[in-house]
Amino acid sequence: MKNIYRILSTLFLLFTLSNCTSKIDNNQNVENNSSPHDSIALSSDIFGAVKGTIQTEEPTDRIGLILYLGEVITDSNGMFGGFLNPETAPVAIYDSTSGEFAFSNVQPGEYSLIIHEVVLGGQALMDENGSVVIILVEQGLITDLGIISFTGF
Amino acid sequence: MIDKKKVRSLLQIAGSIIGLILIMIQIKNGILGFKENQVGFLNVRYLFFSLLFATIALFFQILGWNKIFSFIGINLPLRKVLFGYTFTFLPRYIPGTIWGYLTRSEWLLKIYDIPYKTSIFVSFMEMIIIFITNLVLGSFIFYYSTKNLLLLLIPIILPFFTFILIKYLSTRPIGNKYVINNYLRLNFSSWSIIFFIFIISWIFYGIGLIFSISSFSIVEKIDLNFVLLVTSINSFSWIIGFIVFFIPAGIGIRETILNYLLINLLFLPVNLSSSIAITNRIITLFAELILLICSYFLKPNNPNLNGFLKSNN
Repeated sequence: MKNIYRILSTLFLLFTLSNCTSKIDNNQNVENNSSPHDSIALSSDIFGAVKGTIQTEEPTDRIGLILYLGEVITDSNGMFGGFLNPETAPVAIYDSTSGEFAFSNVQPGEYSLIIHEVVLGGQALMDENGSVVIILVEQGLITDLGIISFTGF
Repeated sequence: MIDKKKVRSLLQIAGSIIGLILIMIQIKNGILGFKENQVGFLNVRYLFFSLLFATIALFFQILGWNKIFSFIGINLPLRKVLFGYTFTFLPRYIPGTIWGYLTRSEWLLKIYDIPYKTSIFVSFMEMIIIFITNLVLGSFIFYYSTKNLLLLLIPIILPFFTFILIKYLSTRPIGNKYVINNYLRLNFSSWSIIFFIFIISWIFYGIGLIFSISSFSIVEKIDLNFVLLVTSINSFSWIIGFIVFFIPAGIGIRETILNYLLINLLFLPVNLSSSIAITNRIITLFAELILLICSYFLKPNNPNLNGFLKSNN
Protein backbone atom coordinates (compact mmCIF):
# COMPACT_ATOMS: atom_id res chain seq x y z
CA MET A 1 0.00 0.00 0.00
CA LYS A 2 2.86 2.31 0.95
CA ASN A 3 4.41 1.66 -2.47
CA ILE A 4 1.20 2.56 -4.27
CA TYR A 5 1.13 5.91 -2.43
CA ARG A 6 4.77 6.44 -3.40
CA ILE A 7 4.02 5.79 -7.08
CA LEU A 8 0.89 7.96 -7.05
CA SER A 9 2.72 10.84 -5.39
CA THR A 10 5.55 10.55 -7.97
CA LEU A 11 2.99 10.67 -10.79
CA PHE A 12 1.29 13.67 -9.17
CA LEU A 13 4.66 15.42 -8.86
CA LEU A 14 5.45 14.70 -12.52
CA PHE A 15 2.06 16.04 -13.59
CA THR A 16 2.51 19.21 -11.53
CA LEU A 17 5.97 19.65 -13.03
CA SER A 18 4.63 19.23 -16.55
CA ASN A 19 2.02 21.92 -15.86
CA CYS A 20 4.70 24.30 -14.66
CA THR A 21 6.99 23.74 -17.61
CA SER A 22 4.19 23.90 -20.16
CA LYS A 23 3.80 27.58 -19.32
CA ILE A 24 6.94 28.23 -21.30
CA ASP A 25 5.39 26.61 -24.36
CA ASN A 26 3.60 28.54 -26.98
CA ASN A 27 1.56 27.76 -30.03
CA GLN A 28 3.89 29.13 -32.59
CA ASN A 29 6.64 27.55 -34.56
CA VAL A 30 9.03 30.45 -34.63
CA GLU A 31 11.52 31.51 -32.04
CA ASN A 32 10.37 34.07 -29.51
CA ASN A 33 10.78 37.72 -30.52
CA SER A 34 11.36 36.89 -34.19
CA SER A 35 8.73 37.35 -36.86
CA PRO A 36 8.45 34.90 -39.77
CA HIS A 37 8.71 37.90 -42.10
CA ASP A 38 12.10 38.75 -40.59
CA SER A 39 13.26 35.17 -40.98
CA ILE A 40 12.99 35.12 -44.77
CA ALA A 41 16.30 34.10 -46.23
CA LEU A 42 17.28 33.45 -49.82
CA SER A 43 20.33 31.23 -49.87
CA SER A 44 20.72 31.90 -53.59
CA ASP A 45 19.36 34.27 -56.26
CA ILE A 46 17.76 31.35 -58.04
CA PHE A 47 15.12 31.11 -55.31
CA GLY A 48 12.21 33.33 -54.42
CA ALA A 49 10.15 33.79 -51.25
CA VAL A 50 6.52 34.32 -50.22
CA LYS A 51 5.14 36.11 -47.18
CA GLY A 52 1.75 37.09 -45.82
CA THR A 53 -0.51 37.25 -42.78
CA ILE A 54 -3.49 35.05 -41.98
CA GLN A 55 -6.42 36.81 -40.37
CA THR A 56 -9.26 34.96 -38.67
CA GLU A 57 -12.37 35.99 -36.76
CA GLU A 58 -11.07 34.47 -33.54
CA PRO A 59 -7.33 34.47 -32.79
CA THR A 60 -7.63 30.86 -31.58
CA ASP A 61 -8.72 29.80 -35.10
CA ARG A 62 -5.14 30.40 -36.23
CA ILE A 63 -3.76 27.75 -33.88
CA GLY A 64 -2.64 24.51 -35.46
CA LEU A 65 -2.62 25.69 -39.08
CA ILE A 66 0.05 24.38 -41.44
CA LEU A 67 0.69 26.37 -44.61
CA TYR A 68 1.96 24.80 -47.81
CA LEU A 69 2.65 25.99 -51.32
CA GLY A 70 0.78 23.46 -53.43
CA GLU A 71 0.88 22.79 -57.13
CA VAL A 72 -1.59 24.44 -59.50
CA ILE A 73 -3.79 22.19 -61.60
CA THR A 74 -6.39 23.04 -64.24
CA ASP A 75 -9.70 21.20 -64.56
CA SER A 76 -11.67 20.55 -67.76
CA ASN A 77 -13.60 23.85 -67.35
CA GLY A 78 -10.39 25.83 -67.25
CA MET A 79 -10.71 26.47 -63.51
CA PHE A 80 -7.59 26.35 -61.40
CA GLY A 81 -7.22 24.06 -58.42
CA GLY A 82 -4.59 23.35 -55.80
CA PHE A 83 -2.85 20.04 -55.32
CA LEU A 84 -0.84 19.15 -52.24
CA ASN A 85 2.01 16.68 -52.15
CA PRO A 86 3.28 17.07 -48.57
CA GLU A 87 6.51 15.24 -49.41
CA THR A 88 7.63 17.95 -51.81
CA ALA A 89 5.56 21.06 -51.04
CA PRO A 90 7.34 24.01 -49.37
CA VAL A 91 6.20 24.50 -45.75
CA ALA A 92 5.85 27.93 -44.17
CA ILE A 93 7.34 29.19 -40.97
CA TYR A 94 4.20 30.31 -39.23
CA ASP A 95 3.39 32.33 -36.13
CA SER A 96 -0.13 31.53 -34.95
CA THR A 97 -0.13 34.50 -32.57
CA SER A 98 0.32 37.16 -35.27
CA GLY A 99 -0.79 35.03 -38.22
CA GLU A 100 2.40 35.91 -40.09
CA PHE A 101 3.92 33.30 -42.37
CA ALA A 102 6.88 33.06 -44.71
CA PHE A 103 8.21 30.60 -47.27
CA SER A 104 11.95 30.85 -47.90
CA ASN A 105 14.01 29.42 -50.75
CA VAL A 106 11.12 28.52 -53.07
CA GLN A 107 11.80 27.39 -56.63
CA PRO A 108 10.37 29.97 -59.08
CA GLY A 109 7.02 29.00 -60.53
CA GLU A 110 3.26 29.06 -59.96
CA TYR A 111 1.84 27.86 -56.69
CA SER A 112 -1.37 27.75 -54.68
CA LEU A 113 -1.52 28.52 -50.97
CA ILE A 114 -2.88 25.57 -49.05
CA ILE A 115 -4.07 26.08 -45.50
CA HIS A 116 -4.12 22.78 -43.67
CA GLU A 117 -5.40 21.70 -40.29
CA VAL A 118 -4.57 18.19 -39.18
CA VAL A 119 -8.10 17.17 -38.10
CA LEU A 120 -10.24 19.28 -40.42
CA GLY A 121 -8.16 18.89 -43.59
CA GLY A 122 -6.80 21.32 -46.17
CA GLN A 123 -8.16 24.12 -48.31
CA ALA A 124 -6.56 26.09 -51.13
CA LEU A 125 -6.84 29.87 -51.12
CA MET A 126 -9.66 30.81 -53.54
CA ASP A 127 -10.76 33.99 -55.24
CA GLU A 128 -14.38 35.25 -55.44
CA ASN A 129 -15.01 33.12 -58.56
CA GLY A 130 -14.10 29.90 -56.79
CA SER A 131 -10.83 29.54 -58.65
CA VAL A 132 -7.54 29.01 -56.86
CA VAL A 133 -5.40 32.12 -56.34
CA ILE A 134 -2.19 31.62 -58.30
CA ILE A 135 0.95 32.74 -56.52
CA LEU A 136 3.83 33.63 -58.77
CA VAL A 137 7.27 33.09 -57.29
CA GLU A 138 10.13 34.84 -59.08
CA GLN A 139 13.88 34.58 -58.78
CA GLY A 140 15.38 36.72 -56.01
CA LEU A 141 12.02 38.34 -55.17
CA ILE A 142 9.74 38.20 -52.16
CA THR A 143 6.06 37.88 -53.13
CA ASP A 144 3.88 39.60 -50.55
CA LEU A 145 0.37 38.17 -50.31
CA GLY A 146 -0.67 40.79 -47.76
CA ILE A 147 -3.47 40.00 -45.34
CA ILE A 148 -5.47 36.86 -46.10
CA SER A 149 -8.88 36.54 -44.49
CA PHE A 150 -9.46 32.95 -43.56
CA THR A 151 -12.99 32.07 -42.52
CA GLY A 152 -12.29 28.47 -41.59
CA PHE A 153 -12.96 25.06 -43.05
CA MET B 1 23.56 -27.01 -47.56
CA ILE B 2 22.51 -23.69 -46.04
CA ASP B 3 24.01 -22.95 -42.67
CA LYS B 4 20.95 -21.71 -40.72
CA LYS B 5 23.07 -20.21 -37.95
CA LYS B 6 25.06 -18.21 -40.44
CA VAL B 7 21.93 -17.00 -42.22
CA ARG B 8 20.39 -15.99 -38.88
CA SER B 9 23.44 -14.04 -37.76
CA LEU B 10 23.66 -12.36 -41.17
CA LEU B 11 20.00 -11.39 -40.89
CA GLN B 12 20.60 -10.02 -37.39
CA ILE B 13 23.52 -7.89 -38.55
CA ALA B 14 21.65 -6.71 -41.65
CA GLY B 15 18.52 -5.96 -39.57
CA SER B 16 20.45 -3.94 -37.02
CA ILE B 17 22.22 -1.93 -39.72
CA ILE B 18 18.99 -1.30 -41.66
CA GLY B 19 17.17 -0.28 -38.46
CA LEU B 20 20.01 2.04 -37.46
CA ILE B 21 20.13 3.71 -40.89
CA LEU B 22 16.35 4.19 -40.94
CA ILE B 23 16.24 5.70 -37.46
CA MET B 24 19.18 7.98 -38.28
CA ILE B 25 17.30 9.28 -41.35
CA GLN B 26 14.28 10.07 -39.16
CA ILE B 27 16.43 11.78 -36.53
CA LYS B 28 18.18 13.82 -39.25
CA ASN B 29 14.80 14.92 -40.68
CA GLY B 30 13.53 15.80 -37.21
CA ILE B 31 16.61 17.91 -36.42
CA LEU B 32 16.29 19.64 -39.80
CA GLY B 33 12.69 20.54 -38.94
CA PHE B 34 13.80 22.18 -35.70
CA LYS B 35 16.69 23.94 -37.44
CA GLU B 36 14.44 25.39 -40.13
CA ASN B 37 11.82 26.38 -37.53
CA GLN B 38 9.23 24.15 -39.18
CA VAL B 39 8.79 22.19 -35.97
CA GLY B 40 7.45 24.17 -33.06
CA PHE B 41 8.10 24.00 -29.37
CA LEU B 42 7.06 20.89 -27.52
CA ASN B 43 4.07 21.13 -25.23
CA VAL B 44 5.29 19.26 -22.15
CA ARG B 45 1.79 18.77 -20.76
CA TYR B 46 0.71 16.79 -23.84
CA LEU B 47 3.93 14.79 -23.72
CA PHE B 48 3.08 13.81 -20.16
CA PHE B 49 -0.37 12.60 -21.27
CA SER B 50 1.23 10.71 -24.14
CA LEU B 51 3.52 8.99 -21.66
CA LEU B 52 0.60 8.25 -19.35
CA PHE B 53 -1.46 6.62 -22.09
CA ALA B 54 1.49 4.62 -23.40
CA THR B 55 2.14 3.34 -19.86
CA ILE B 56 -1.52 2.36 -19.40
CA ALA B 57 -1.45 0.68 -22.83
CA LEU B 58 1.56 -1.39 -21.79
CA PHE B 59 -0.21 -2.32 -18.57
CA PHE B 60 -3.21 -3.59 -20.56
CA GLN B 61 -0.85 -5.60 -22.76
CA ILE B 62 0.51 -7.34 -19.66
CA LEU B 63 -3.03 -7.81 -18.36
CA GLY B 64 -3.98 -9.51 -21.63
CA TRP B 65 -0.96 -11.80 -21.44
CA ASN B 66 -1.86 -12.65 -17.84
CA LYS B 67 -5.42 -13.45 -18.91
CA ILE B 68 -4.19 -15.93 -21.53
CA PHE B 69 -2.40 -17.77 -18.72
CA SER B 70 -5.46 -17.73 -16.50
CA PHE B 71 -7.67 -19.09 -19.28
CA ILE B 72 -5.42 -22.09 -19.71
CA GLY B 73 -5.61 -22.73 -15.98
CA ILE B 74 -2.44 -21.04 -14.69
CA ASN B 75 -3.11 -18.15 -12.35
CA LEU B 76 -0.19 -15.77 -12.03
CA PRO B 77 -0.74 -12.86 -9.62
CA LEU B 78 -0.59 -9.68 -11.71
CA ARG B 79 1.44 -7.76 -9.10
CA LYS B 80 4.12 -10.41 -9.19
CA VAL B 81 4.39 -10.76 -12.97
CA LEU B 82 4.28 -7.05 -13.77
CA PHE B 83 7.97 -6.54 -13.09
CA GLY B 84 9.08 -9.85 -14.60
CA TYR B 85 7.20 -9.17 -17.84
CA THR B 86 8.68 -5.71 -18.39
CA PHE B 87 12.15 -6.74 -17.27
CA THR B 88 12.39 -9.88 -19.38
CA PHE B 89 11.01 -8.08 -22.43
CA LEU B 90 13.87 -5.59 -22.51
CA PRO B 91 16.34 -7.88 -24.36
CA ARG B 92 14.31 -7.43 -27.54
CA TYR B 93 16.21 -4.17 -27.97
CA ILE B 94 19.44 -6.15 -28.16
CA PRO B 95 20.29 -7.06 -31.75
CA GLY B 96 19.79 -10.75 -32.38
CA THR B 97 17.24 -11.36 -29.65
CA ILE B 98 13.94 -12.28 -31.21
CA TRP B 99 11.14 -10.40 -29.44
CA GLY B 100 12.45 -11.16 -25.94
CA TYR B 101 10.01 -14.05 -25.63
CA LEU B 102 12.75 -16.57 -24.90
CA THR B 103 14.02 -14.61 -21.89
CA ARG B 104 10.49 -14.49 -20.58
CA SER B 105 10.08 -18.27 -20.91
CA GLU B 106 13.30 -18.73 -18.95
CA TRP B 107 11.99 -16.46 -16.20
CA LEU B 108 8.65 -18.29 -16.02
CA LEU B 109 10.44 -21.64 -15.73
CA LYS B 110 12.76 -20.43 -12.99
CA ILE B 111 10.26 -18.57 -10.87
CA TYR B 112 6.93 -20.31 -11.49
CA ASP B 113 8.07 -23.67 -12.77
CA ILE B 114 6.10 -23.20 -15.97
CA PRO B 115 7.46 -25.48 -18.70
CA TYR B 116 8.85 -23.95 -21.87
CA LYS B 117 6.10 -25.58 -23.95
CA THR B 118 3.41 -23.75 -22.00
CA SER B 119 5.11 -20.36 -21.91
CA ILE B 120 6.01 -20.56 -25.59
CA PHE B 121 2.42 -21.49 -26.37
CA VAL B 122 1.18 -18.46 -24.40
CA SER B 123 3.74 -16.25 -26.15
CA PHE B 124 2.56 -17.69 -29.47
CA MET B 125 -1.06 -16.91 -28.58
CA GLU B 126 -0.06 -13.45 -27.44
CA MET B 127 1.74 -12.82 -30.72
CA ILE B 128 -1.29 -13.96 -32.71
CA ILE B 129 -3.65 -11.76 -30.69
CA ILE B 130 -1.32 -8.76 -30.85
CA PHE B 131 -1.03 -9.29 -34.59
CA ILE B 132 -4.77 -9.71 -35.14
CA THR B 133 -5.84 -6.82 -32.91
CA ASN B 134 -3.35 -4.56 -34.66
CA LEU B 135 -4.51 -5.84 -38.02
CA VAL B 136 -8.12 -5.13 -37.04
CA LEU B 137 -7.30 -1.55 -36.05
CA GLY B 138 -4.71 -1.10 -38.81
CA SER B 139 -7.12 -2.28 -41.51
CA PHE B 140 -9.07 0.97 -41.11
CA ILE B 141 -6.15 2.48 -43.03
CA PHE B 142 -7.45 0.79 -46.19
CA TYR B 143 -10.85 2.34 -45.63
CA TYR B 144 -9.36 5.81 -45.08
CA SER B 145 -7.19 5.45 -48.20
CA THR B 146 -9.94 4.26 -50.52
CA LYS B 147 -13.19 5.29 -48.74
CA ASN B 148 -14.60 1.91 -49.76
CA LEU B 149 -17.21 0.93 -47.15
CA LEU B 150 -16.77 -2.77 -47.89
CA LEU B 151 -13.29 -2.60 -46.39
CA LEU B 152 -14.89 -1.92 -43.01
CA LEU B 153 -15.90 -5.58 -43.03
CA ILE B 154 -12.26 -6.62 -42.52
CA PRO B 155 -12.07 -5.56 -38.85
CA ILE B 156 -15.42 -7.25 -38.19
CA ILE B 157 -14.67 -10.57 -39.89
CA LEU B 158 -11.02 -10.91 -38.90
CA PRO B 159 -11.45 -11.74 -35.15
CA PHE B 160 -14.06 -14.44 -35.89
CA PHE B 161 -11.95 -15.91 -38.66
CA THR B 162 -8.88 -16.09 -36.41
CA PHE B 163 -10.81 -17.75 -33.61
CA ILE B 164 -12.23 -20.38 -35.99
CA LEU B 165 -8.77 -20.94 -37.48
CA ILE B 166 -7.18 -21.49 -34.06
CA LYS B 167 -9.97 -23.88 -33.10
CA TYR B 168 -9.52 -25.78 -36.35
CA LEU B 169 -5.73 -25.97 -35.94
CA SER B 170 -6.13 -27.30 -32.40
CA THR B 171 -8.00 -30.33 -33.75
CA ARG B 172 -5.32 -31.16 -36.34
CA PRO B 173 -2.53 -33.69 -35.66
CA ILE B 174 0.02 -30.89 -35.69
CA GLY B 175 -1.89 -29.44 -32.76
CA ASN B 176 -1.65 -32.70 -30.83
CA LYS B 177 2.03 -32.98 -31.56
CA TYR B 178 2.79 -29.62 -30.03
CA VAL B 179 0.32 -30.11 -27.17
CA ILE B 180 -1.54 -27.07 -28.39
CA ASN B 181 -5.00 -28.49 -27.96
CA ASN B 182 -4.20 -29.72 -24.45
CA TYR B 183 -3.89 -26.09 -23.47
CA LEU B 184 -6.48 -24.68 -25.79
CA ARG B 185 -9.34 -24.26 -23.42
CA LEU B 186 -10.08 -20.91 -24.94
CA ASN B 187 -13.75 -20.68 -25.68
CA PHE B 188 -15.28 -17.81 -27.58
CA SER B 189 -16.01 -15.70 -24.50
CA SER B 190 -12.47 -15.98 -23.12
CA TRP B 191 -11.09 -15.26 -26.59
CA SER B 192 -13.32 -12.18 -26.73
CA ILE B 193 -12.12 -10.95 -23.31
CA ILE B 194 -8.44 -11.26 -24.32
CA PHE B 195 -9.17 -9.71 -27.69
CA PHE B 196 -10.97 -6.81 -26.03
CA ILE B 197 -8.11 -6.18 -23.56
CA PHE B 198 -5.58 -6.01 -26.40
CA ILE B 199 -7.83 -3.75 -28.47
CA ILE B 200 -8.02 -1.37 -25.47
CA SER B 201 -4.24 -1.55 -25.19
CA TRP B 202 -3.77 -0.50 -28.83
CA ILE B 203 -6.38 2.22 -28.61
CA PHE B 204 -4.48 3.63 -25.64
CA TYR B 205 -1.26 3.47 -27.67
CA GLY B 206 -3.12 5.35 -30.41
CA ILE B 207 -4.31 8.02 -27.96
CA GLY B 208 -0.70 8.28 -26.78
CA LEU B 209 0.29 9.00 -30.39
CA ILE B 210 -2.45 11.66 -30.63
CA PHE B 211 -0.93 13.39 -27.63
CA SER B 212 2.54 13.07 -29.21
CA ILE B 213 1.17 14.81 -32.32
CA SER B 214 -0.64 17.41 -30.21
CA SER B 215 2.54 18.18 -28.30
CA PHE B 216 3.81 19.86 -31.49
CA SER B 217 0.96 22.40 -31.22
CA ILE B 218 -0.75 21.42 -34.44
CA VAL B 219 -3.98 19.90 -33.12
CA GLU B 220 -6.61 22.20 -31.71
CA LYS B 221 -9.54 19.82 -31.28
CA ILE B 222 -10.03 16.17 -32.08
CA ASP B 223 -12.98 14.02 -33.10
CA LEU B 224 -13.71 10.29 -33.07
CA ASN B 225 -12.77 9.94 -36.72
CA PHE B 226 -9.32 11.37 -35.99
CA VAL B 227 -8.85 9.05 -32.99
CA LEU B 228 -9.67 6.04 -35.16
CA LEU B 229 -7.42 7.19 -38.00
CA VAL B 230 -4.42 7.83 -35.74
CA THR B 231 -4.99 4.56 -33.85
CA SER B 232 -5.02 2.66 -37.14
CA ILE B 233 -1.88 4.50 -38.31
CA ASN B 234 -0.14 3.49 -35.08
CA SER B 235 -1.30 -0.12 -35.34
CA PHE B 236 -0.35 -0.43 -39.00
CA SER B 237 3.17 0.88 -38.41
CA TRP B 238 3.48 -1.43 -35.41
CA ILE B 239 2.49 -4.47 -37.53
CA ILE B 240 5.13 -3.73 -40.16
CA GLY B 241 7.76 -3.44 -37.43
CA PHE B 242 6.55 -6.76 -36.02
CA ILE B 243 6.69 -8.57 -39.36
CA VAL B 244 10.24 -7.42 -40.08
CA PHE B 245 11.38 -9.58 -37.16
CA PHE B 246 15.10 -9.35 -37.87
CA ILE B 247 15.17 -5.66 -36.90
CA PRO B 248 15.44 -5.38 -33.09
CA ALA B 249 12.11 -4.15 -31.67
CA GLY B 250 11.21 -2.85 -35.13
CA ILE B 251 13.42 0.19 -34.48
CA GLY B 252 13.71 2.36 -37.56
CA ILE B 253 11.20 0.50 -39.69
CA ARG B 254 8.27 1.41 -37.41
CA GLU B 255 9.27 5.08 -37.40
CA THR B 256 9.68 5.08 -41.18
CA ILE B 257 6.21 3.61 -41.74
CA LEU B 258 4.69 5.95 -39.16
CA ASN B 259 6.40 8.88 -40.85
CA TYR B 260 5.09 7.79 -44.26
CA LEU B 261 1.51 7.41 -42.99
CA LEU B 262 1.52 10.72 -41.13
CA ILE B 263 2.66 12.47 -44.30
CA ASN B 264 0.22 10.77 -46.63
CA LEU B 265 -2.87 10.44 -44.44
CA LEU B 266 -2.61 13.44 -42.13
CA PHE B 267 -0.72 15.58 -44.69
CA LEU B 268 1.92 16.57 -42.18
CA PRO B 269 5.25 18.03 -43.32
CA VAL B 270 8.06 15.49 -43.68
CA ASN B 271 10.29 16.90 -40.95
CA LEU B 272 7.44 17.30 -38.49
CA SER B 273 6.31 13.70 -39.11
CA SER B 274 9.82 12.46 -38.40
CA SER B 275 9.91 14.43 -35.16
CA ILE B 276 6.57 12.91 -34.13
CA ALA B 277 7.73 9.37 -34.98
CA ILE B 278 10.93 9.78 -32.96
CA THR B 279 9.06 11.39 -30.05
CA ASN B 280 6.58 8.54 -30.03
CA ARG B 281 9.40 5.97 -29.87
CA ILE B 282 11.03 7.81 -26.98
CA ILE B 283 7.67 7.99 -25.19
CA THR B 284 7.19 4.22 -25.63
CA LEU B 285 10.66 3.58 -24.22
CA PHE B 286 9.96 5.82 -21.24
CA ALA B 287 6.61 4.11 -20.69
CA GLU B 288 8.44 0.78 -20.41
CA LEU B 289 10.91 2.33 -18.03
CA ILE B 290 8.18 3.85 -15.85
CA LEU B 291 6.29 0.57 -15.67
CA LEU B 292 9.52 -1.23 -14.86
CA ILE B 293 10.28 1.16 -11.98
CA CYS B 294 6.69 1.17 -10.68
CA SER B 295 6.42 -2.61 -10.83
CA TYR B 296 9.78 -2.92 -9.08
CA PHE B 297 8.35 -1.06 -6.09
CA LEU B 298 5.14 -3.06 -6.25
CA LYS B 299 6.71 -6.49 -6.55
CA PRO B 300 6.86 -8.65 -3.44
CA ASN B 301 10.36 -9.40 -2.21
CA ASN B 302 10.70 -12.76 -3.87
CA PRO B 303 14.10 -14.42 -3.28
CA ASN B 304 13.68 -16.53 -6.44
CA LEU B 305 12.99 -13.45 -8.54
CA ASN B 306 15.97 -11.65 -7.03
CA GLY B 307 18.09 -14.69 -7.87
CA PHE B 308 16.84 -14.55 -11.46
CA LEU B 309 17.72 -10.86 -11.70
CA LYS B 310 21.24 -11.49 -10.37
CA SER B 311 21.81 -14.39 -12.72
CA ASN B 312 20.82 -12.15 -15.61
CA ASN B 313 23.14 -9.29 -14.64
